[in-house]
Amino acid sequence: MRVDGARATRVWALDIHLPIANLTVDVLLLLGVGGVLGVLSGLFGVGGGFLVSPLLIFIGVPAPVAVASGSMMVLGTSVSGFMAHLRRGNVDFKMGGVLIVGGALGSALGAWIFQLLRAIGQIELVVPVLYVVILGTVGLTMVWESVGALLRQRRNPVAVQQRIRRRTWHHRLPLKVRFRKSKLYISALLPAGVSFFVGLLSAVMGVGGGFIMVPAMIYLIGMPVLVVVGTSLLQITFVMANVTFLLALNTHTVDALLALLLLVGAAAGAQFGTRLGARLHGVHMRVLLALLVLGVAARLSFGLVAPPETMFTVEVERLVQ
Amino acid sequence: MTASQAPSRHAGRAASAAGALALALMAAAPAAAADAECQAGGEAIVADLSTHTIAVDARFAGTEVLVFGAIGCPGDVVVTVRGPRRQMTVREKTKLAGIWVNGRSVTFTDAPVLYAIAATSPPERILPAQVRQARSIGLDELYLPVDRTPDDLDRFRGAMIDFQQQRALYTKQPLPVDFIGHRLFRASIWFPASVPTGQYIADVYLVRDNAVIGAHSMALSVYRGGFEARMFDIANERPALYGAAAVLAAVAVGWVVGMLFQRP
Repeated sequence: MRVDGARATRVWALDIHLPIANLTVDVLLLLGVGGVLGVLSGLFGVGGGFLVSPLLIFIGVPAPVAVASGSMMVLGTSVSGFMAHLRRGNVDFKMGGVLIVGGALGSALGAWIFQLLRAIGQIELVVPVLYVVILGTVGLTMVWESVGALLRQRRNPVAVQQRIRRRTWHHRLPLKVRFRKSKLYISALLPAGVSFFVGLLSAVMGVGGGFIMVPAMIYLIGMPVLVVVGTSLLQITFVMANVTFLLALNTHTVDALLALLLLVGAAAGAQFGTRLGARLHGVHMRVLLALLVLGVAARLSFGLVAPPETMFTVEVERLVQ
Repeated sequence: MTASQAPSRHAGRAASAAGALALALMAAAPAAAADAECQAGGEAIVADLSTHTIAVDARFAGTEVLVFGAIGCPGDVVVTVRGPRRQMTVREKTKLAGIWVNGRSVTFTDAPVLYAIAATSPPERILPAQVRQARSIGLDELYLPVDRTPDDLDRFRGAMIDFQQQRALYTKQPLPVDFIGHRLFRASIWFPASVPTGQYIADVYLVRDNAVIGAHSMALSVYRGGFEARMFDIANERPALYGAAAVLAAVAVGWVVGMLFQRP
């Protein structure tokens, strides 16, 4: 970690000064961080967004720039991961279309809320709290479900095709559409509503929302697991494109250079991660992901509750010249 | 060696009777006589900077700026460098329902983004507080207007100064001023990688008998150079274009890498 301003003599001189983040960092550090995030993206179908913002803040990027630039990075990794799943034919475009509409509307509202929070100076509070609540809830649910599935599988050595129980509460909703690829005949309002909510959170937290979308698609909508990852990446791509554009337009905090460097590492990592994911057993993957999500939630809640390193934060006005 | 040791050396090298007389007068008379002597010779103090521009580009990792000059007569030298003014908001964390949130805040409406000071002697010993406040000599003497004045304003002010110090943008303890001979001086000022763009002002003062008897002011401009500048400008002035380009760039990179790893 480099302390900005320190005059330590460097042996390694591959530094770059990021214009909008106003930070000088090691290029290899950014590529490495991107690579790790990319592997997670390909492996679990999550954009890696829930890790990128905290990681960027940790290396010294101002919080608003971290969230905005992270969105741009997630956009790129999602495109890369989506292409890998597209080649395998695991995408339900019709469902994706509905999800995109809901996500676009939700993220537009979310971007506006992000601006508002930034104006009243409470981004640093709201974003971590949201992370903890969402990640904690999702993580706990996932651990519960996946560990249960793992135990069931252990008891019964024969591989059982897990058919998630369909809930009947949403059968009464209007606008029913046949989603052939997902083998579903359900109301379009359900996926649209889920993606609206996820899009809203995505924009405020700077995440792709994959870690909410994937469980939601499996449990709430009832899609087969095979199609879920590819389709969610499609939705994330559109939502993140929307968020990146809106944040750049309204808050000028997207640091394209930072995002592109992370992206180069991450896009490569995503390809590797997808290949790795194909080899891992589905249930093991779910357990791993659940534990990862919980781990991040625990770390963040510790950060909120533990006495802060400095009692004061200073925000310097960014003057446009 | 400080400038105030010069008289004895001067006395040792007296080249003419007039010179010796002038020196005797100087030693005996108050600052006014010294002024006259300085005036007769020209400026009491002159100075220049090693550079008047700093271009911040992708490879910028901070740079050293040299303030150098010459004094016309003995005295202490004080150098200050002040950056452009910005608004800085200091927020205090308080515990709310078990978690730490941002609570009270104070906004310093007109604070310099950078403040550096170098001197041959501690400024508080050679100048009265009034003069230091008027000339912004010393971090504690800086006039920093605020939007509100709570009882513990000092804590907020201290926090802001600490924050800037950590980023190597504020200097609390004066840096040294080195002398070559007894007229030429130099001071090294560090501009860290995160220096904001704008106009910076470097002032040099010649101090004697609790008063400033000579001053010189110089300007330095920090600006964004290279393709970085264009990127920053576009991000702020044409955000729609920048946003669209950012989206396309991200998609393009993701797409290209996706294609690269295609299985045959």
